Amino acid sequence: MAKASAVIKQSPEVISRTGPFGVVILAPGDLEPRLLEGSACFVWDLLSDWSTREDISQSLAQLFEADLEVVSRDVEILIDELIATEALVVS
Amino acid sequence: MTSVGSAEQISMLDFVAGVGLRAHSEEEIRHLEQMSEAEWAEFHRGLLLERLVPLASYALDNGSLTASELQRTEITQDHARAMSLAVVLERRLLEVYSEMSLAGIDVRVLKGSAVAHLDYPDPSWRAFGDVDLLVPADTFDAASEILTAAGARRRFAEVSKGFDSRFGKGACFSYEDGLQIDLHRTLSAGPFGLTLDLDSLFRDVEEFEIGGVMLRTISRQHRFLHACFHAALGDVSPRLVALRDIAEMLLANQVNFRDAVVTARAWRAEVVIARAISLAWQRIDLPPNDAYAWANSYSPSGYEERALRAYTSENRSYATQVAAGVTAVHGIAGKLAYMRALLLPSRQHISGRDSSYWARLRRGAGALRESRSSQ
Repeated sequence: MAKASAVIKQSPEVISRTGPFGVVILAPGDLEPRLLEGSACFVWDLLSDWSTREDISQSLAQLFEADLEVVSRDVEILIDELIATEALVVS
Repeated sequence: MTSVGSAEQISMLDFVAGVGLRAHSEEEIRHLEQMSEAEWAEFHRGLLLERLVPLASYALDNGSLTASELQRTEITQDHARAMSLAVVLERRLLEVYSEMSLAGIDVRVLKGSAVAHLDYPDPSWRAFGDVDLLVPADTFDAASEILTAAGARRRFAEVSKGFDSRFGKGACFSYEDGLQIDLHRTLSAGPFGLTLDLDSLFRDVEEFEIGGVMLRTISRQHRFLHACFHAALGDVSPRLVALRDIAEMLLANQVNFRDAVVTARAWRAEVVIARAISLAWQRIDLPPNDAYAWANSYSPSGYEERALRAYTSENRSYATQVAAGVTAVHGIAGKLAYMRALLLPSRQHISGRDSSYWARLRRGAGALRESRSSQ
């Protein structure tokens, strides 16, 4: 698992589509496409540039006026999944 | 050719096909929630068949369509499904493209994926159901072998040995998982596929990116001409998405229509462009413009009329199109080789299409007679 301070970004190898439905991504390690909805789309969008889990959690907590600890837990789970399927590259 | 219909006359599907291309006033907003259950079911089926789900989804997003919560959810889910299929097809495209390129084949991506990435505001506006590739005639067999080695099965065997690389439109390959690749040598079966300048399709290149890989496709003008070939010569009633492609390229993407007509003239296919534009403008009910005025007043040559009949007459078939191609083949030797291939096809091809050599001969001779009688 990548450290919380690791710098991460969308992998250029991901094939994706963004629309009113959310974001559909097919990462190198995915067998089937994955649909990102709601705040997961926001996370994905932030990851179009290099970022860290901390920065993403803070942006998300601020945007949705939510508890940072709760948001951080959700962001951790999502980012771990995305790293496992090679949807993200870690610097 | 008939005149453009009034806004009241166009159906809800035709309306969706034109979303984003016409200005809509408040009164022209369409309301799906006013449909009965049966009307909604039929409209919904139409959206899927005509590949218009993304446009309906964006119409809901920009307010030119309104819907009940349930209808909105269905369209949004359909859009996500259509885009899931698109990314799966694009992964297969990358695999095949890479293998063909490694084998030294100068491959070009056609239609769906290329048009979605280059001709629409965003690729999520355009759904597609297969992968289309164009390869140079002399590498058609090698490209076919790559697909077969990767597990794809050719749907119909070659008419006779060497026909594909010399005269054929191409072949359709399907994989066990249901994905399909159309491998093209040219843009159409029959006469119009035999008179176009294939070399120019490979000379004028445009590129687009998928998953970090740059892929080559044909030029914007050639994509427009191909869209016209597909809409005017493909299905009797073309899919609305095929007509939308033409309108999108002309109205939003500013294809140089006059230059396209010059190229079409050199390909002896101006009538194809005229028919495609007329179909698009009438069906989608777009405001008249120069392109539509030209299409509506275009007077085809005798050759064009005869050639077009093979695609549009009531008894149109692959056989009549191929038979009509005789007139477009260069030279006596070429015509003889073409006719021999049609009348003496391989056993594998016959078992896929006809029951016997005799049935084939009867059908081939009939198609040739029909082609001549219409000349």
